[in-house]
Amino acid sequence: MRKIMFTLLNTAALIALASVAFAAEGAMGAIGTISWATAIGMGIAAAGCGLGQGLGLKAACEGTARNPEAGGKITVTLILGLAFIESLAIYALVVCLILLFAHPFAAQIAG
Amino acid sequence: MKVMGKMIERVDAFFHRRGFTHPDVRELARNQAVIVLIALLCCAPFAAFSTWAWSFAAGASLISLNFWSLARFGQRVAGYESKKEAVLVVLFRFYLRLGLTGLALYALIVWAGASATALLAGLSILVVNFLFWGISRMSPKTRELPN
Repeated sequence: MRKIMFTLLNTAALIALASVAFAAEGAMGAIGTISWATAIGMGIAAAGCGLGQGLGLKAACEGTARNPEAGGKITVTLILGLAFIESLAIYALVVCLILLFAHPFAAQIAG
Repeated sequence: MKVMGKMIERVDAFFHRRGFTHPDVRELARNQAVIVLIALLCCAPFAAFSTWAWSFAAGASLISLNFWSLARFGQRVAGYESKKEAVLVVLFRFYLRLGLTGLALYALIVWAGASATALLAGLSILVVNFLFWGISRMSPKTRELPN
């Protein structure tokens, strides 16, 4: 039920945004769409990465509490995981900044 | 070889004084420092006339600072007694770092006009470091023997 609700809500959100994108015309419309895309994209990336870090840390704390002798190995694995997740968030941030400020699609929009 | 060993010892001692008490984490941080130093030295001669060179160096430095901050704190956090407190502190620090990194990236891309490809390549240095560290761990020489 939750999955179906999630899919339905996502579909509704996409349809709602698509109509806004198609309604706008020219370069200003494209810029508006790109701004929306970056805002939503960065929001999803930040939330997902925060969730991932929280879950990873929770599991690491539980593991260390259950088996303190494995604390060293768990710490290294945790740091690697956290760093990978943080890298993902930074990649998403760079992509969003590129979309917003470097204008890679400027030629296509103008043409 | 002896000189190299002494240099590694000195760098290790430096990182130990800076709070990297876990040997594996210290090794990762030290490798990252060496890689960034090499990247900076390679990029320095071209930085004046090549956007790619200084963008790459900036990306590598930025991700290294991020990693050092994360690793130094990450050593302590798994030992927190309260799970809730640990998660809150990690999330707070993560979003704070992300915000600061965002500001730095904004300045680099928008004000300084850095090359996005070079910046991404520089940011990927951390992943490359981890990959090599993992591969070195899997090699038969360094793998732990069963008891």
